[in-house]
Amino acid sequence: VTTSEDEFVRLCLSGGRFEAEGMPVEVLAELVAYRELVIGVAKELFRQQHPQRQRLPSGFTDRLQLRLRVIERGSVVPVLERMRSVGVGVLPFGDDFVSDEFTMARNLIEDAVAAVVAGTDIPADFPRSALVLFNGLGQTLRVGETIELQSSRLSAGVKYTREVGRQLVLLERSTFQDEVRDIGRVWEVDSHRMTCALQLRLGPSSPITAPLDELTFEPIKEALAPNGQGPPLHIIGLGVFDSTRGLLRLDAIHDVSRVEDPADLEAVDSRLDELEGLRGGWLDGYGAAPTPPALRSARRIVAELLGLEVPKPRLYPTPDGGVQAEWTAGESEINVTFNSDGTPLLVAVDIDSGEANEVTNVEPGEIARFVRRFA
Amino acid sequence: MTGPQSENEAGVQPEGVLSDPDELLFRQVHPLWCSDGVPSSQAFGPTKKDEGKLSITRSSLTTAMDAYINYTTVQGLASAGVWGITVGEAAAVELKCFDDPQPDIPAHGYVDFGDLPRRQAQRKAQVLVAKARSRGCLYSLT
Repeated sequence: VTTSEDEFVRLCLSGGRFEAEGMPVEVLAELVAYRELVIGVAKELFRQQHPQRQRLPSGFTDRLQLRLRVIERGSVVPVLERMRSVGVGVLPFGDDFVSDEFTMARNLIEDAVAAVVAGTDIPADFPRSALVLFNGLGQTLRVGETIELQSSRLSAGVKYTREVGRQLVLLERSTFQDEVRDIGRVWEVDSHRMTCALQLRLGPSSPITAPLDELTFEPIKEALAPNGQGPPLHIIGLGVFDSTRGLLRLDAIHDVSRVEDPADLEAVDSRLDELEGLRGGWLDGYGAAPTPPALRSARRIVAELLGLEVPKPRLYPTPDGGVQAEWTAGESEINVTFNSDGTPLLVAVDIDSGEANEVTNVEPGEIARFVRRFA
Repeated sequence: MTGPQSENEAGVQPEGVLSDPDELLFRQVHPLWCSDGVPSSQAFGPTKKDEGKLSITRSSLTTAMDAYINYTTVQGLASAGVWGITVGEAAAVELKCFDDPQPDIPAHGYVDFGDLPRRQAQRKAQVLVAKARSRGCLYSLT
């Protein structure tokens, strides 16, 4: 029986998908990841404070019982409350939350995030071995989306992004995990070790390894052909990145599906290859060559759009080193400009009324909604 | 200049303004701004070097073919073909068009975007390219 609760933290999710009504279901994983981060830091704090003990006390992690009771608006704010006691007639830890390891862990996490955002050193008492746990927080976040950690001790919340998490992990490790959404072809399948080798479209020049499981084995095996000539697959997984060399391997494959129209994808890649070959001055002596971030962003997002059954766009270079994708949808002209730094800007204009919509840092799902709405 | 030229206080049009709304204005489209035979909206908006003046040639003074030949041979520039908008279509998005003859291009003129912010200019270009596309390519070698 849980008896009472205290507000532990508010996780204010903002930007991108969180500006729309409701909370995306997949983002619930962030609440689990946050709990695991707090528990992981708390465990290390306990070990620091009790160096003579070899084990954690029995039921240690059960002391942190977080419940989601409320999701407030503005943008999306799940409020996690901590139960004061757990079980029937048992008060295993009293009701003093102020100084226990979990509350200290919450505070240290907030302070570490704030330090990275401010460009200063993280707290000296933050357990370094726990920094790797930031890999788990923010994996579902997309460009432009943030989790603001708000607890009652703070006058203002601290904003966490995937980039902040990456910096925290790299303080202690040379690699970090991040979501991979790409298209790949299968080069090898090892049914004994349950692994495969994938050549990813946006990945390194040679195939990378990935583990298989009961769900991914069949679709991966079916796409195997000599020399990676099998059908292309949409791959969503958890990648391991090196800060200098990029993607090293996949630690998990979460989803595999066939590319519906490989010819469209090949046409897009062919056009982007053409734009990649441009030199400065391509526009009658003016015009910067498309930058690698712009080309990479265009390759990634356009491929995702094809997977969302959005028609193949027309692709053009911009004089500023960007790439522009254009659709005509009904009476609307929809442009997505991948700027030279890779950030995408959507401008949709109704031809009859002249009414325009603009979205900066637009995500593929939102582009798809625009194209479908006006088609 | 703070925007496209407008009528002065007495209601008199600025010098050189084109007044026939049906006059077709030819626009050359760079080959890289033509994909699968469809021009980019960028071809109907000014770039930085244009200083707000989108070059066109006037159909009342030349043909699409002659405009193309002048552009590619006399000026030595690359063009995938000629598309067109009318003075009236430019006016519908609050842009004026001007006569601007040049020694090598007597039919030269421009659509005046003034110093509109880039995004506003882009929106107008998106409307103009839709008009041009619906009219189709007016001349190309292929």
